[in-house]
Amino acid sequence: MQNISPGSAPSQILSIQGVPVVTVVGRLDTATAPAFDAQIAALLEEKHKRVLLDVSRLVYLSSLGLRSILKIIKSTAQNGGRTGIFSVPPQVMELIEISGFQSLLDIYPDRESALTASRM
Amino acid sequence: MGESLTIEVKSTRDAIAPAAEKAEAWLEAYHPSPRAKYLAPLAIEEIVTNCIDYAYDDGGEHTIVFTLSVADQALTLTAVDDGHAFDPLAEQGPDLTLPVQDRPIGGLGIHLLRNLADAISYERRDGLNRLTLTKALS
Repeated sequence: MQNISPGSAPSQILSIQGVPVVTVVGRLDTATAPAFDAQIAALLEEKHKRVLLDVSRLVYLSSLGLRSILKIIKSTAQNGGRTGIFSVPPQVMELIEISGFQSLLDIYPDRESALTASRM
Repeated sequence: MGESLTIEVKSTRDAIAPAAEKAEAWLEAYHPSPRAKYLAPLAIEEIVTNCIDYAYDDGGEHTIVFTLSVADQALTLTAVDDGHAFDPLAEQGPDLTLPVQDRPIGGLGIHLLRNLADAISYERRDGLNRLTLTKALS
């Protein structure tokens, strides 16, 4: 959790080969989730079947952060697809498992494998 | 380096991050495992959030008092609040087998703490809610 001040900008959204990739940086919690949700809102309105989450630099996640991720999962599901997630740090993976989200997400070891699987 | 730390947290969302940081910085001296280090800020955030959302019957500001102590290579974190009586451990946990469209948004906070802590207990005493979590540091 070092070097990342509370409330720091939580995300960056890029489109890679037509697939939206959301990079979540730092903390996703009570302080940052509202800003994250606001950033994501426009993306969700585009009704994507596939969204990828890069959480390689996500250091802290609380239930409010999980709620933000669930909103993305539900959105892709409504559009007939699924959300993918890659480069998941061990602490984040533990919370995903405890929350029962692993069955709702496609989990990949890295960006390459996530993008390869998303092109199909 | 003290053996315990007391943090009084106001029942506002802005008070959560500074308190969580303080707890984490204090715990650092005991060389906690990543899982133990995670639990302290998470407990503060989830408990304060629950209090803000559910605990109070008036609109006033309240204080939640957290005490962290280390003994025998284990962290004990106690949260005391003056909200109405609420035993979070009596609640049924979320149904994690539901299909995606039926998953409730929320209700995961206490579930996370129950699963991450080695032990968790609740008591109502002197008109206060007291939740205690323990976690091995190693």
